[in-house]
Amino acid sequence: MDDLPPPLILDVLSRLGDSADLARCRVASKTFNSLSRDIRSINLHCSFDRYAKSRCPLTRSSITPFKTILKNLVSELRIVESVTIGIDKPLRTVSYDDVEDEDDDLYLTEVNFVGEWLPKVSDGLTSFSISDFWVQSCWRRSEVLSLISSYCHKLAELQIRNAWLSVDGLKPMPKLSKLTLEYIRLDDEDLNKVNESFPGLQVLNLIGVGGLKDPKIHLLQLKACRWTVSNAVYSVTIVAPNLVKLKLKCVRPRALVIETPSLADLHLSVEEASSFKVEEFVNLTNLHLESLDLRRLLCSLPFGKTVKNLKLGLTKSSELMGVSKFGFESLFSVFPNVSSLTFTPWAWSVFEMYICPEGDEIRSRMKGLKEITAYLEIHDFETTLSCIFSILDNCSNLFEMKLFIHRDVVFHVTSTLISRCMTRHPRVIWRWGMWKEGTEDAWILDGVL
Amino acid sequence: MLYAIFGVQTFLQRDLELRNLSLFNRRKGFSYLFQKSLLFPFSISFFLSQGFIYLFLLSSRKSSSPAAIMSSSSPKMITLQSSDGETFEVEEAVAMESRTIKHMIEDDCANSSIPIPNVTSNTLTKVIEYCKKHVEAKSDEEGLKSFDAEFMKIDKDTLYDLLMASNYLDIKSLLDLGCQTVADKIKGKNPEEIRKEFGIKNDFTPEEEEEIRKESPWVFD
Repeated sequence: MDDLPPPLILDVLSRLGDSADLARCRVASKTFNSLSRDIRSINLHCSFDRYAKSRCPLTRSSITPFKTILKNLVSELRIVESVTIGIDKPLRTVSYDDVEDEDDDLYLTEVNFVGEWLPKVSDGLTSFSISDFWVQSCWRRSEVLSLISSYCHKLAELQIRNAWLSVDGLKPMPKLSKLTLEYIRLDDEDLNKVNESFPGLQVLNLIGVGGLKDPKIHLLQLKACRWTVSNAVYSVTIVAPNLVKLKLKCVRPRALVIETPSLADLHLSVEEASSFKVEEFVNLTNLHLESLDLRRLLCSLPFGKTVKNLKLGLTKSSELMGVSKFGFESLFSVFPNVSSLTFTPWAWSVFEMYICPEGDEIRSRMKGLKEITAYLEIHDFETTLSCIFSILDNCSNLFEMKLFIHRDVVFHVTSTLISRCMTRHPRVIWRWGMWKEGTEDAWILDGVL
Repeated sequence: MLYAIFGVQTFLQRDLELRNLSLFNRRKGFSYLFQKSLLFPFSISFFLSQGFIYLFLLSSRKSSSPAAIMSSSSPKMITLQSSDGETFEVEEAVAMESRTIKHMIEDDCANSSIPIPNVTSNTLTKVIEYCKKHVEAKSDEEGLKSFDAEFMKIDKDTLYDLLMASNYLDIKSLLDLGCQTVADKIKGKNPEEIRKEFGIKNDFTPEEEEEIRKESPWVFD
C-alpha cells in the first residue's frame, strides 16, 4: 500500500466516512498523517458508549467533550466541504422521559456552539447535516437557520433532525437545492419563510415536521418532494409546476390542494379529506394510492389516463366494513392504460367482492394489463378463486401473477389455491409467496413452503 | 467553353452587321439578335452545370470511404500488450472503457498493438474481465452489483495492482470500486491493525507517535 500514489491514497481516505477512522489512520504512518489534512469532509457521530461514559462519574473526566472534538477537527482540515454531525442510532431512541438531562453537551443546534466554527468553514461548505439529541434540543428553540443563512453562501444540501427551529432572521439562500427536515418543530406555520428563503430548492423532504397550521409548499424549481404531515394541520397545499416525484402522507386534512401538472410518480396516502382540489396530471406514470375510501379517491381525482403502474392500498385494515365496494371494471374505466397492478395488504379484499361481469367491452378495457401483484388473505376461498379466474378470463394479455398468501392461512387451502390456479391457467407465469405484517415477504420456491 | 466563345463571337458579328442595316430592317434585326443572344446565357449555364456535376461527384467520392468503414458489421479489435509481453485482443468498445486507451484510439495511435507498460498480464486479464462485463451487462444494475462484489474478493496485492492499473488506464468505475473496497477494509481498525493489513511501515518515532495520538485523544478514549 506504500507504493500507491498520494492521490489514490487520498481517494481511499476520503471514502472512510467517519472522522474517527481517519484519525486512527493518521497514527499509522507519516504519509497518512499529511494526506489527512486534505480530506474535505467531517463525519462525527457520538456513540452510545461515549454518552454513557460521559454520564458515569468514574469515566467522565477522561472523555473529551463532543463539541471540543468537532472544533479540533475543523481546525485540522484545510478546506471543509461537508460536515455531518450527529448522534448514533441507539441514542436517538432515548426518550425524554427516561433521562433527565439539563446539559447541553450534545445540544448540537445551539447557536453559540455552531457560531464558533461555522464561519471558519463556510467558504467551501456545500453540505451540512445535523442530527441533534432530542432530549437536549426539544425544549430549546434554536436560531441556527438564521446563522447558517448568514454565513453559508455556497450551501447546496442541508439536513437537520430532531430539533426545534425558528425561522427568525432567515436570509435567502438561493443556492440551496436540497433540504431535509426530520422530526423538527418548525416555527413557520404556513411554510412562508421556507418558500421565500429557498427559492432554488429541487428536493424537499419534510418528515414529521410539527408546528404547521396551513402549510403550503410553493416552489417553482422543485423536482422531488417527500412530505409526511401530521393530523394537526388544517389544510395541505402543494404548488410546484416542475415537480416530478411526490410522496405525500397526510391523515385527515380539511382541504388537500395539489397543483403539480408535471408529476410522473405519485405516492399519496390520505385517510380522508373533506375537500380535494387536484390539477389534472398529464404525465403520471406511477401511482401508489392509500386511503380508507379508495373508491371516493379514485372517482373524484383526475389521475389521468397515462398511469401505467398502479399500486393500491388501505391505510387501516380494520375498517373494511365501512368501505364502499369498487369493482375491477370500474378501476379500468378510471385507468385504461394500466399495465401493472399491485394490491398491497388488505386492498385486494375490497375488490374481490365484486366479480367482473364478462363481456367484450370489459375485455377490451382490460387489454393493457400485463401483470398483477397481490397480497391475499383468503377470507372466503371460492370468492378469491373466482375473482382470480374472472380477471384472468377478461385480461387476454395478462401473463404474470405474483400472489402472496398470508402465513396464517391453513396449508391445504394455500396448496389447493396454488394447484387450481396453475392447472386452470398454465400459460401464465405464476409466482407464489407468503406474507405477514411485521415479517419480510418470502417466495415459495417450487412447492417448498 | 469553346461553345461559349463561339456564341460570343457570333453575337458580336451579328451586332456589327446590324449596325449596317437600314432603318427599314431594324425590327427584324432585333428579333434575330434576341434569338442569337439566347445562346450566350445558355452556354454559360451549361458550363456552370458541368462544373456542379463535377464537384458533386468529387464530394461523393470523398465521403464514400468513411461510409464504407461505418457499414462494416464485425467489431473492431484492439490489441493490448502487458508489461511482460503478453498480448490481449479485445473489442474496441471494451477497450474504450479505459479513457487512456480511448484517447489513444481517437488520436489515431492505436493502429498496431497498444503497449501498457505498468500493468502485468495477470492484472490486465482482471481489468479486461471487468470491462467486458460492464460493457455487456450495462443496463443490469443488480447483476453488475453482485458481479462487483464477487470481483473484489481478491487478495491485497491483486487489489493494489488493480488500483494502480485502473488509475493508469483511467477506468473510473473500477477505480471507485477498488478505493471503496480498501476504505471498507480500513474502517473500524486501530492503527496497528491498519499497518498490519496494508503492510505499512511505521515511520514515526515513539515520541512523534505519542504527539499524533495526543492530537486526537478522543479516538482512543
